[in-house]
Amino acid sequence: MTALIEIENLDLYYGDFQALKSISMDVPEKAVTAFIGPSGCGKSTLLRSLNRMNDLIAGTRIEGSIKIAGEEINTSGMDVEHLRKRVGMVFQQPNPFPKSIYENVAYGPRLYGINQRKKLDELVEKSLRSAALWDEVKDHLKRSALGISGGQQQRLCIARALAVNPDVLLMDESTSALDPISTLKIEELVQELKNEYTIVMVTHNMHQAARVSNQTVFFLNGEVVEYADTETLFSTPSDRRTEDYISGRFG
Amino acid sequence: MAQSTKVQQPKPHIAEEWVGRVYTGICIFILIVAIFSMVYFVASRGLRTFIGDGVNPLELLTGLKWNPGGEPALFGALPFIFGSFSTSILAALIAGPLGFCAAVFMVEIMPGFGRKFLQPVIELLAGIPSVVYGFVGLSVIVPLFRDIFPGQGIGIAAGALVLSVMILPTITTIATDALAALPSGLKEGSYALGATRWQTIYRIVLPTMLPALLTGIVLGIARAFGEALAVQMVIGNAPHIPRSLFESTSTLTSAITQSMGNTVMGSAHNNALWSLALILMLMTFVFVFIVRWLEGRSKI
Ligand SMILES: Nc1ncnc2c1ncn2[C@@H]1O[C@H](COP(=O)(O)OP(=O)(O)OP(=O)(O)O)[C@@H](O)[C@H]1O
Ligand SMILES: [Mg+2]
Repeated sequence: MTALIEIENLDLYYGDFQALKSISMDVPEKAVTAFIGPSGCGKSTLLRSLNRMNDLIAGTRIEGSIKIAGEEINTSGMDVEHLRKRVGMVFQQPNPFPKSIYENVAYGPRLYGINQRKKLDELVEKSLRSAALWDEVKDHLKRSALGISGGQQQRLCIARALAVNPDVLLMDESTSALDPISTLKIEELVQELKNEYTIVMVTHNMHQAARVSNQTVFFLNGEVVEYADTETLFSTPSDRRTEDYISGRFG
Repeated sequence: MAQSTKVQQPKPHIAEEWVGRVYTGICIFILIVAIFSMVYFVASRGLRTFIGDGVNPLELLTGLKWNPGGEPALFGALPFIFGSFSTSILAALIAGPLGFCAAVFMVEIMPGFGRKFLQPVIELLAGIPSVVYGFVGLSVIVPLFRDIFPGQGIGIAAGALVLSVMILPTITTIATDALAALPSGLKEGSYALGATRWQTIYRIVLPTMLPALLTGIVLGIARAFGEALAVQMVIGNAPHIPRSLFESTSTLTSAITQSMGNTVMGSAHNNALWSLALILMLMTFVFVFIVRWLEGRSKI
């Protein structure tokens, strides 16, 4: 498998506090990589580094290199908006815009100047189909996105991210606010999507990581403790701390 | 206070409960009586023009000539109504975008400086007495307009400009609160799709907080509509519809303050002034209803 994202010696500071300590790893293309680890170990921070969402937090400082498809993203000349178009993100809480279902999905394409009705209609349908939501909402696309269920809202957020045709999809505990059935739907969706997209997901649910991901990374205190095939990591972890964590002895 | 175990014991908590209820009951009663007697008083006086003096309400609302003490008496208040609406709406058109930008600046762009310095300064504007605004308007804005534009400098433009500064704090404060209350996930969601800051502000922030912004603007218009002193000082007080923004005219409030001291209680002229007050009061009701309706819509 080829690496789409290459992280090398990445340090990240929130003011004086070092949240990531010389992280190095490769994220393979068209596969699901799961980040696991106890709360506060830096999973979200690393995820947000991949689309430079940490830029929005005052006082963050980042050192080291992140290359996506060979291109360094930690440079001042980087077109951050274009990067975020290529690296989509789904958040923990579903955060649809207070607009119609249609306009939520069309939001991204409109940002990039796509305004023809026909083109947008196509994109909206395609994205909603990819997010396994089309059949449920196709008859009321004009309704407010705030009126659908949390699980549907989260799939809408996935559709919204897919509408700008990204290469990477970042998911930060995107099922933790959902009921088991919605969670299952999104897990199935992720299995579908990995054929076309590179997916990085943060999860607190060990079973979810085991079920869904190809690679798993275990973090502790801002460091990568272990990075392996999901099967290997869960069956024969090589580090003692990993074993303790996945067997529920701490964290 | 401990719950009494025996039924016979005195129950101080019940007494306390009743003291509270009676107290708030009295307060509410006084409030309601005050409001109703106020409305009744203004309405009964204001309606005398039509009932006692036999003036057609339509003449009051559409007539162009105002001379209630003259011979024949003329009761056309349209110039005042026009003056009130044009100054306050123009003021809102100036202060609305300014207030929104100030709010965006304070919340989104420079929260530190904005919150610590700009916000107190803008709130200070709300505490300045209106006579000071009028004085500044008369000594700065009016001469300035006189030099730049044809006319005397007084008029709707000067009145609207003074009013816009006066209502800026109302609009800014409401817009700032609405902006700060937006869920942060909303903006993040937009940024994560590759939107720039201004795209996010135009496409997400502004539409989401629009009902709240409009609430602030309507409250501002209501305040401007009722402001008398500052406007009276810069508007010229001629009782006719002006042909330009820089020509002397009047508003409902300035017409009342202008002549209330010169009329005898119960005379047709005095009653006509009460009719103007009635119009002001009814307009206030309308504004309150608009605000209520907007607030009902602003649930995110
Ligand atoms: N905006 C911030 N400012 C300062 N410190 C922060 C900020 N965000 C996170 N941190 C700190 O950085 C560390 C890593 O946080 P991060 O959110 O990446 O953890 P996480 O692994 O995602 O945790 P969780 O599982 O609870 O989401 C934590 O110690 C946290 O307190
Ligand atoms: Mg997190």
